[in-house]
Amino acid sequence: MKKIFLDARKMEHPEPLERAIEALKKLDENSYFYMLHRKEPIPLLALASEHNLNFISKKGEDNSWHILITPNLEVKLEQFIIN
Amino acid sequence: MFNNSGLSLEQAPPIKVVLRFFLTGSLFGIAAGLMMFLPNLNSITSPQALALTHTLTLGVMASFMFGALFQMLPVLAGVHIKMAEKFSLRVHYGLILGTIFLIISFFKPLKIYYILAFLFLGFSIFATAIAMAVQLFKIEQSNSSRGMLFALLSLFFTAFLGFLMLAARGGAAFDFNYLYLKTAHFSFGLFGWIALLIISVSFQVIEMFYVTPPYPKKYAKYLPFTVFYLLLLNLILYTFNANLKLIQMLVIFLIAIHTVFTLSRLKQKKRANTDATVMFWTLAMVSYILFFVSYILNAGAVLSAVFFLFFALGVLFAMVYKIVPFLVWFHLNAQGYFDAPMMHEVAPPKYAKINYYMLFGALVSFLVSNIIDFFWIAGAVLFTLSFMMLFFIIYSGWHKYLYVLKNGKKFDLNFRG
Repeated sequence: MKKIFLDARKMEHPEPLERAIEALKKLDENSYFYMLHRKEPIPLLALASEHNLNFISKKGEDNSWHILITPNLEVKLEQFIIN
Repeated sequence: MFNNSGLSLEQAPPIKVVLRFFLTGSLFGIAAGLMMFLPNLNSITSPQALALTHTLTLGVMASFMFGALFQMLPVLAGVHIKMAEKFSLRVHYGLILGTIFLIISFFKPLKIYYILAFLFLGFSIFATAIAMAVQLFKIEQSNSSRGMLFALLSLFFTAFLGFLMLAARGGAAFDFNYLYLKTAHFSFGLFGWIALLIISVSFQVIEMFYVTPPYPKKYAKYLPFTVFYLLLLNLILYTFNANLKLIQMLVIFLIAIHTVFTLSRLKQKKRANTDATVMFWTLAMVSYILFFVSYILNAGAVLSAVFFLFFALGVLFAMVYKIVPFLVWFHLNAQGYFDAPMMHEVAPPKYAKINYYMLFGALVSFLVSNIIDFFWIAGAVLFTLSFMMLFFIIYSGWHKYLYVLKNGKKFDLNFRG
């Protein structure tokens, strides 16, 4: 699957959220959005949930949050997490 | 970790819940600015000064703080307030009417006004403080949510002590020292409710918004706890007619340490850009340090009050300029509106900077008025204009939201529905 990647760990509010939404608009069945963030972005996840997207968020060993979102409901997103 | 865990926008209150409080708070701010033209404000117990103080603390600060809490608790702390829209509307009307009756009661000390102020404010403040505190108590505590809990408990004590004072003014006889009661009322209000809420919010937003190093964990855990229990200890001592000024001094000192900490955090932000909200935060923290110095030097009640006011207003303006554009943008995107305005289009950064210079100009004018009286008028004008501009920003955000709802194009992120 094609990955759209965003490292938002050094971005100030509201840049991560604005850029994430722009990325989500470009997604299709064969792509997913991968974001690294220093906090769990609850508004983005609420928005993904509202739009019935497939998403996960997980805290990595370096304390960064890994957020993966795709419109494809069949795919297991855990497999794409980079440790 | 979230994994399609049922997190929903239904947890967040409708945008109008928050904006209603903010618009009313701005109108009370304009009213407060106009009240600054009244005579006898130098005497802090004059009806004019009491009316102005309560217009600022209840009309302005409580309105903005209630609105911000209705917004922030679901998002930051995962707290779900049942029937947020209906509940907030009742609380909102109670706060407006109660504040107006209380202000009237300072000019016309009639029992009917005391009773009406008590009923409306009592319902509004106790219902909000209890409803939010109960929900906060249930969740796994972060340093920020724990601080908010102590701030809400302080609000409860502030209101309770205020109502005792109202009853005393209405002729009820109590066996307590009125002066101590008054000191405890304003201590819980200023250093408990307002300062603790600002501290709790700073724990959450300074690091998140401005990419700064976090506050030390133990410090963030114990500061709100320590401030609250010191205020409570002072109240207990007052009931025994003991007055340890050292405790109040310690509370004020602890908050001053936090403001220095916050300034040092802002200085360490990773990006060099300085948006207006950082300037508002800086104004707030510096104002508190000046309040601390003026308190230590016993520089006069009016000067100290002005510094404390700008401590609260700096944070208030910073939060409005973050929250309003975010709400408009977020709620429209959540509903699938493709052409929702970006956040910087809802509240343009250059407007925020103009608003900052107005507020800063008001502070400088009030300070210069200690030497040249006329500058008090200039300060009052700038203060009024600051809130008029804030009202315009909030109202235009609301207007843009409604416009897109009516005319915007919808998109679907999940094309399979």
